Amino acid sequence: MRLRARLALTVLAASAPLLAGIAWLRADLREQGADRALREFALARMESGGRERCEADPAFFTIVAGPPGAPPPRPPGVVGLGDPRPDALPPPPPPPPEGGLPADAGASPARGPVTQLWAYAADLRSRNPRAPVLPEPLAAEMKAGAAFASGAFDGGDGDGAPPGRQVALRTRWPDGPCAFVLARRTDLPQDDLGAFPVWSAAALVAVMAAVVVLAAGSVVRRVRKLTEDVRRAAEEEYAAPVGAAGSDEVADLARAFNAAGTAIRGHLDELSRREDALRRFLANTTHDVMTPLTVLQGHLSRIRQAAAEGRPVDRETATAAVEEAHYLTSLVHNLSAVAKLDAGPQQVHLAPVCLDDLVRRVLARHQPLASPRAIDIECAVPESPVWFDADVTLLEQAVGNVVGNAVRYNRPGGHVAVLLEEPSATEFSIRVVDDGPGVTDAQLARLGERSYRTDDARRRDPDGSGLGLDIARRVAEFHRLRLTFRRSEYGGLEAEFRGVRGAEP
Amino acid sequence: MHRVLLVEDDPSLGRQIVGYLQDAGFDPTWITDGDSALRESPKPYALVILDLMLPGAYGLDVLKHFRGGGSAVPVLILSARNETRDKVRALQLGADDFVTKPFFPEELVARIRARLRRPTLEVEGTVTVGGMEIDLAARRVVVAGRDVDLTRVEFDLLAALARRPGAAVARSWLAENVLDPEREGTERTLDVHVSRLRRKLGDAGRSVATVWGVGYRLAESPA
Repeated sequence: MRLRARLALTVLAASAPLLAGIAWLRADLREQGADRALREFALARMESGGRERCEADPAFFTIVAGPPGAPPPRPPGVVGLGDPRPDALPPPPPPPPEGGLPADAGASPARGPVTQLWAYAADLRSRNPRAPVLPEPLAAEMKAGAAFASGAFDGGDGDGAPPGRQVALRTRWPDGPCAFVLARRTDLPQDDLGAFPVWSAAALVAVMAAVVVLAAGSVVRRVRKLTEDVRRAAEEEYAAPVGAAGSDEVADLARAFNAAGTAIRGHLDELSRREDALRRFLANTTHDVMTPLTVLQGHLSRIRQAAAEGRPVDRETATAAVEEAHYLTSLVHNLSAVAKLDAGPQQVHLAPVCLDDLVRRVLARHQPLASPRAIDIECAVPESPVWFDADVTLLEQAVGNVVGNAVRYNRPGGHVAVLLEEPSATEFSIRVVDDGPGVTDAQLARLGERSYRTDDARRRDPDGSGLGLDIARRVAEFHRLRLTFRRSEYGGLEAEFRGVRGAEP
Repeated sequence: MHRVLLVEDDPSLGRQIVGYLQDAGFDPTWITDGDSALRESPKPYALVILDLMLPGAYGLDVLKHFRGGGSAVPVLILSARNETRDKVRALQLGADDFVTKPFFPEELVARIRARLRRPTLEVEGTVTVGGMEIDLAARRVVVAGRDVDLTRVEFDLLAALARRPGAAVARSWLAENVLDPEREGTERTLDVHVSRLRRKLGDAGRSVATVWGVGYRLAESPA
C-alpha cells in the first residue's frame, strides 16, 4: 500500500473508535439528563395533586403529558391535574370509557415525546388495571430500597409505543396506592440520531485526513525522488551519488545509500582494474616474450648445428643465448611486476626483508650474465643484517633491473658494484655503481623522472631497459624509497635507493 | 664432499640440477615427491634444495616437518611462482633462502656455496687466511711464523676483513668503523692505511684485495 493511503487509513481507523466513544458519552449524558428530568417531572406531578387523585381513584390513576406542540390545547400536565378521570384528557378520537384514553394518548408517538405516569402500591402492583407491570429490573431495585431506578424502555408491551426511557421512584407516601411511581417517556428515535452531529464529525475526520495527506506529501515526494535517484545510480553503476540534502531520515537513507554505492563502486573499480591488468599482462607477455624466444631458439639451433657438424660451438652465440634467456626471465618478471603494481596495493605483500640476502640474490642472479662478458660484479653489506618492510619480489625486481642495466650496458672488462650501506643512524642505501659508458645530461635528467607510461616505454625501448627502470621507479615510490641517478666517480652511472631502515623481525 | 638433498618433481629439471651439483663438487640425492621427502631424515645432508610445488606433501609441509624435527639444515627453496606470499611464508617457516625459477646453474651453485660458507661469519678466535694467522682476541698477526707489528688502525682494518673472509667490505663502512673519528677519517686516509698494511704484511699483503667500487676483501687465496 502506498504511504499516503496508509496514512489516510490510519487516520480513519483512529477516528472511528474516537467518534464512537464521543457518541456513546453524548448519549449517556443525554440519558442521564432525560432521567433526571423525568424524575423531577414525576415528583412534581405527584406533589401537586397527583397524590390526591391517585388515592382518590387508584383504579383509574394515570397522568399523561403530551408533546409540547401536540394538538391538545392545554399543557398535558395540567390536563390530568385536578381531573378526577382520565377521560378529561385531550380530544383524540373516541374517548373510550375508562382509562382507555390515556393508553391511546400514549400511543401517538409520531407527534413527539409523550410522558405517562402510573402509580403502584407498596407491593409494587398498580391499582389501575391498565397500568403496565412494573418492569422487573426496576422493581428489583425498588425492592432493594433504592430511591429511584431508571432504564431503557423498549416500547414493547405490544401496544406499538416507541422506545424511550422509564424511571421508577419511591414517593413519600409508602402506605397508599401510590408508594411508587413509574414514569415513561417515549421519544422519537430520530431525535437521538439527529442530535448527534454526524456531518460535522465526518467533516472533522476528512479535514484530519487531508492534513495528514498534505503533510505526508513532501515526504512522499522526497522518497519518490530518492527511489528515482537510486534507480538511476544503479543503472550508472553508482558512478554519481544521489542527492542527500537535509537532515531527516530520508536524507540519512540517501547518505547510507551513497556510502553503500561508494563501496560497491570501489569493488567494481577494483575488479575492472584487476581485469584490465590481467588482460594487459597476458597480451603484453605473449607479445613481448615471442621475440626473445625466437632469438633464443635461433641461437640454440645454431649451436646444435655446429655440434652436429663437428664444428666448435661459437662462443658468442652461446653467450648471446644465455643473455637472451636471462633477458626473457627478467622481462617476464617485469611484466608480472607491472601487473602487480597496476592491480593496486592489495596485491602487494609487505613483510620484513633482509636486504643483505636480497643484494646477494640480485648479485647471484646477474653473475651468469656478467661473467661471459668479463664484467666484474661485486657487492658489500654491513656486518649486521639490514631489514626493511617491503614486497620482496617487487623490491628484488627493482634492484635487479638497475643492476641488470649496469651489466647490460657495460663494456667487456667493466665493473659493477652493489653496496648496501647505512649512511645515517636510521637510513639504508643500496648503491649500484658502474664504470660503463655513462649517460648524457639529457638522459640523466630523464632517468630520474617517471616520464612515460610503461606501455610506451616498452615500445620505444625494445630491449626493455625503459620498462625495467620504470618499474624500479614505481617500486621505489611505492616503498617510499628515493631513487636517484648520478654520474659515478668512475665515469659510469650510479643509482641509489635510499630509505628508512625497518626493525628486525 | 657436501651431501645435498634435492626435492624436485620435474624430471628434466631434476636431472639438470643433479648434473650441476655433481659438476660443482657436491654429492646430490634426488627425491621426486613430497611424501618421500617427509620420510627422509635431513640429518646426513649439508643442505636441502626444496621445490614448493610437489606431488604429495607440499614443499612448505616438508620444510615444517624438518624444522619441527629440530633440524637446522640450510634449506634453499625453489619457487616457480614468483609469489611474495610463498617466499615470506617459507622464510617464516625457517627457509634460509630462495631461488626463483628460471635460474642459471651458476646462480644456484653460488647460492649453495654462499649458504654453506655462512658460519664463518661468526669467527671470533683465530682466522687463518692467505698465509696469515690473525688472532682477533689477542690482536696478533703472524706471517710465516713472525709477528707483524701493526698500528691500532691497521690491525682493526685487518680484523674487520678477517671477520668476514671472502666477503667484500665497503670503504665507507671501514672508514666509519675502523678509522679514528677524531682525526677526520676519510676514505682516502683509509687507502693510505691499507697500502701501509699491505707493505707490512709482505707477500701476504696481496691477499688484502681491492674490490672495484666497493672496498677491500681478505681473499682466501692471494689474487
